[in-house]
Amino acid sequence: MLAYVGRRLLSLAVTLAIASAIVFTVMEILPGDPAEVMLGTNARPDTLAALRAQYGLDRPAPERYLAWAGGLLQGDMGLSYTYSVPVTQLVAERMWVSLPLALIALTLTTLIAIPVGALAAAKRNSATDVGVMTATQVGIAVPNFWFAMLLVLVFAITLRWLPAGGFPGWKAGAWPALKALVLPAVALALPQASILARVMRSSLLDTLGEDYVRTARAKGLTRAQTVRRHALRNALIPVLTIMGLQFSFLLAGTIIIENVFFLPGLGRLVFQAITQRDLIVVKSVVMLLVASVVVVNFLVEVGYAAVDPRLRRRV
Amino acid sequence: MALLDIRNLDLNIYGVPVLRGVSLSIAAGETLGLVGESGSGKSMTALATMQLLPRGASARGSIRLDGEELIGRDERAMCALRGRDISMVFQEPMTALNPLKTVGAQVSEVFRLHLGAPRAECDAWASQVLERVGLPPARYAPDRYPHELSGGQRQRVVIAMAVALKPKLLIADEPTTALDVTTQAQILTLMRALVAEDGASLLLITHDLAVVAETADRVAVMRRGEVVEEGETAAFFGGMTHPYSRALLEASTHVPQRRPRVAPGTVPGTAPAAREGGPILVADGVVREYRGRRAGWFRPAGCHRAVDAVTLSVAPGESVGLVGESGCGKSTLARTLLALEAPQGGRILFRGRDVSSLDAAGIARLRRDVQVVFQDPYGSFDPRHKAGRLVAEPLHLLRGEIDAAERDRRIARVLSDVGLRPEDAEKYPHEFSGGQRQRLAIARALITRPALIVLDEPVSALDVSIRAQVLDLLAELQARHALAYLFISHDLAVVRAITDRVLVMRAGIIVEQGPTAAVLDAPQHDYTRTLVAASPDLARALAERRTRAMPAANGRSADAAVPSA
Repeated sequence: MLAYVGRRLLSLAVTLAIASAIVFTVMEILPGDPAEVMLGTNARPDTLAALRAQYGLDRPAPERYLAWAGGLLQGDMGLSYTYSVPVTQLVAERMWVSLPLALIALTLTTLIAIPVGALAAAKRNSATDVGVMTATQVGIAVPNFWFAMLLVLVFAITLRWLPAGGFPGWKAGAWPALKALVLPAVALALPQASILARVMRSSLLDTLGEDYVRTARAKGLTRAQTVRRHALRNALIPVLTIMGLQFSFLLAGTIIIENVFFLPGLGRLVFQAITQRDLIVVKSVVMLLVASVVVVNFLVEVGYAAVDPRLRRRV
Repeated sequence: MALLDIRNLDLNIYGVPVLRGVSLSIAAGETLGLVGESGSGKSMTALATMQLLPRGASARGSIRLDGEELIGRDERAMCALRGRDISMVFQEPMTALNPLKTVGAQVSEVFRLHLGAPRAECDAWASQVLERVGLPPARYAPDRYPHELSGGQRQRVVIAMAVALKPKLLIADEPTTALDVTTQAQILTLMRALVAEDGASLLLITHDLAVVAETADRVAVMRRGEVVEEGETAAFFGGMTHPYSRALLEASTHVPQRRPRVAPGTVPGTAPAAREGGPILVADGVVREYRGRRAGWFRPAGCHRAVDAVTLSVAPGESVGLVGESGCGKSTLARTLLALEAPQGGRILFRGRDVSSLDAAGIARLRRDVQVVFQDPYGSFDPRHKAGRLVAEPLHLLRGEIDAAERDRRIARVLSDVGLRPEDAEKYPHEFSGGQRQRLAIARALITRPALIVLDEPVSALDVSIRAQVLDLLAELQARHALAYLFISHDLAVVRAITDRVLVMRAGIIVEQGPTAAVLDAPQHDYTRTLVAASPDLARALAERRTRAMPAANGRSADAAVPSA
């Protein structure tokens, strides 16, 4: 098991190194000179040169890559071109919105999808099953920003239970902050939960057709006991794969949802940074998103090994 | 009173009748062998007894265990009964265990479920049961997972779960069909011993009459959902009355009529039937290795030698058998001989030329001269193509030598050669039965007019009567087209019936070879002896039965080879 985790960690490090090189290269190729954006198009050439020298933009690309990557490793993301504050500081503030948002959405996704999918599978072809299949079909088809607006109309404007947007900050207390995240998290989670519930349903149905389920019934387990003790854990293996993939969708989804709800999160930061050609912020935030996806997938793989003994010995 | 008493059992699945008026009974301590072809309703009878029928099934009639009716019994009560009073062993040991739980936990669960004892106590009992089925905890730790055990060991675990609470009735549905002959013999011996110790009754479902003759006290034959004949084993084999029983017996001991060949085992190159002089295919010291898993990051990977310095040759018109257990390297050797994989050592010679030196045209020549038929043809047929197109597939090897009219003539010819109709070319694979699909696969191999066909377990998946028909077909085709066969099988009876010469393979090495009858009648190598002894043999089983009990089984004897004791 330890050797397995070690190998996975090694591949995680290699993935991050490759991803950082790609992110850096893409940013290099993109047109737009940050110095020109900052000073305007009629700035004098010597002022531009001085600014480039100040941010180290005049040095060769490999050297800048190493400086950037080395900085990332030490938690230093450089200075924002537009705000002239450390990127780390910008990111840290917004992380506390986006990360809880994504985690709440992921938790909601799982909490909705697994019981609903399992129920549909256990009551196959019943009214419950048909209802779940129809509801999830709608959930997948409806885009999350439209769904977000619907939620605002109902829960914020009509019922006035929850705020329609904005974020009071965690200093205002945990409860108001959480309240501000509920609607965005639900909007993010429902389409993903619909997908995951269907995966869970078909996975459990496949598992229920396996020989060892029949063996368990022959031992004297009831149908419910068989599902709980033998089928469920086996059915979770494919579900785990999809969950890992969904996390990146959730992160990408925050870019849209944070704009709909006016949340000062990473998604909004990266959106603004792109329009302002604040490439150092874009680079660093994209890298951060890549890193979180890679780390989540690493956790999924360790989760596999925890669930499935057959994987522990393999490469 | 009978322990299990099934009376007039009717079973419909979604309205389709599956069982019709089945009546069977098993006395306490008795073993009933239930035989019949696939689809005859054997397994459904077992599942009805367990009350574990598939969706859409409705049963009428009566199934009594110890006088108590099981049909319509409340599900809770059935759960309490299953695993305690009736338990079941299934065919496929590889998939019968939950891959995510240790074998100890899976056995222990039976005790926890039915006795509600503390976990530690149940685990201790589980260890005892595992010891009883030949998996002593000292050597096979109960905290192993199923994937760490072989098929035979897994079947022992399944048996351990079934006998854990010493049930009154054990149902075994083809428990050894998926296993090698030596493992099969061990598992059957184990089950017989366990049932005898516990005084339990055994319902043994199988398609193998020899297994029944070895094990059962009484035999019942099923066909199309009905029991057609039933009787005490010796009497049953002595005087079968139902034509279907006789047909089953004939099929399972069937030896196809083969035209006598030039002295079997002739030195390659001197066979008069040779069309181009020398042997078609020769393996000369062939070695196949697979890289193993690396032991550490800086240690080199070990090697697994699947085929170790094998030398063999197949002459034109000759039928060569290759026997051995699963994993012994038979199929790897076959792939290497077909030049699908390159050997790491030694040479493959096709008509005297080294295969590795052949150009594209030479390889095409090899492919059309050496064809192959696998065990399960369904997987190798594209379901969207019609039979005609599937059969014609290898013709691309002829590279435009024949026109469309000749192509159609050949398709029609090979289809009628294998006993299908030329019109069948318009059908899709799923419209054929299992035996017909195997005929289709043979037709596909014949269409290039090969000199040699490699047959990898071609009849293992077929019922006995279909198997007999396919063997007849193979014998007839060989005589008509002067074909050579390399016949790979684990079934000694089949190899005996269809080959002139046999090679016995174990762990990548040919341990013994020679004329088939000589090798199988008087094996020289220990391993061959083990194989022969482990193979179920109807004549031998009946003879042993007679010496054991000296019954009044007179009249027509099923075996002519062994004189009455």
